Amino acid sequence: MSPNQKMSWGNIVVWGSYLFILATVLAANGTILFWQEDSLRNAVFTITGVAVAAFIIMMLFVWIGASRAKVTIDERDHKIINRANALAGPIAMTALAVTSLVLSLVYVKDKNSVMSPYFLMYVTLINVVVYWLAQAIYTLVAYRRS
Amino acid sequence: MAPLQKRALYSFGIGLILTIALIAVLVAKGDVTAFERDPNLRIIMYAVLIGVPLVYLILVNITLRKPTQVDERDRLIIERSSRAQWLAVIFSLVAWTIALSEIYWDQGQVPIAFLNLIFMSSLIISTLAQSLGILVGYWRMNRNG
Repeated sequence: MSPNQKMSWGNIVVWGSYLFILATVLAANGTILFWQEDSLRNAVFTITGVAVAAFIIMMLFVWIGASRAKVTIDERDHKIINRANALAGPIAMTALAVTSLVLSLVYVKDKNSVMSPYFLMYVTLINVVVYWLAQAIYTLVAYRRS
Repeated sequence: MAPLQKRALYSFGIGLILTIALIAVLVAKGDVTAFERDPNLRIIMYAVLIGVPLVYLILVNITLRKPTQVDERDRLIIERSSRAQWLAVIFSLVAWTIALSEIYWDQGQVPIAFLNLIFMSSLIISTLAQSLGILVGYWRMNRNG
């Protein structure tokens, strides 16, 4: 398995689990406005912190493993990762557009002309997570096909 | 200069001029709520929002259809520029988040008009970054051989 594939599996496990756990916690509390309760806010920050730490550890493991095994990245690897980036970008932008639209609609419906600063973090986080997941899924599919 | 490189340069230049014009209008209006109140400002914003990607689409995608105009190296540069595009969007989102959080932290609320601005700026930055990524790709390829 190439370092790209290992990293993609790592991304799917880390960020897929993160989204699943986050959705479960928010659904269990019946709100996405996590900052309004201290315990929920701490839970969301802890989950996010653990996900980021797991991502960094996973990257380090893959990088150290590839360095020790002296793995060379060939033309095919470059091609797949470039295509994965090209595909993941528009998907992440679409996620950003949908999130912005949904939030705008929610606020307009509630007749609010202001939003919480935490929503901006949501928008940024969704963009990053969707990008990594889309990139990872395409990479794994491309390796399987080639 | 390769056809793709030339068109990316034109696209970046036109996009940059439109963006600077938009920033000047926003600064002149002075307040983000003008976006909600002033229909002219919204029209300018939408014109730039559509204009920048449209210029890129016409110059880089539509007029470069002939297979003889784009070779393997050009395709590689386009694919690599996607990375720069995403990084530019992420950095702009992070900058918006930090700036707005710091400015509005005491009030605890950010005007909703910023959500539109954030999305529109991301789309404009994304297109500009793609053109810039292509130009940087050619520059690096020429430098490294």
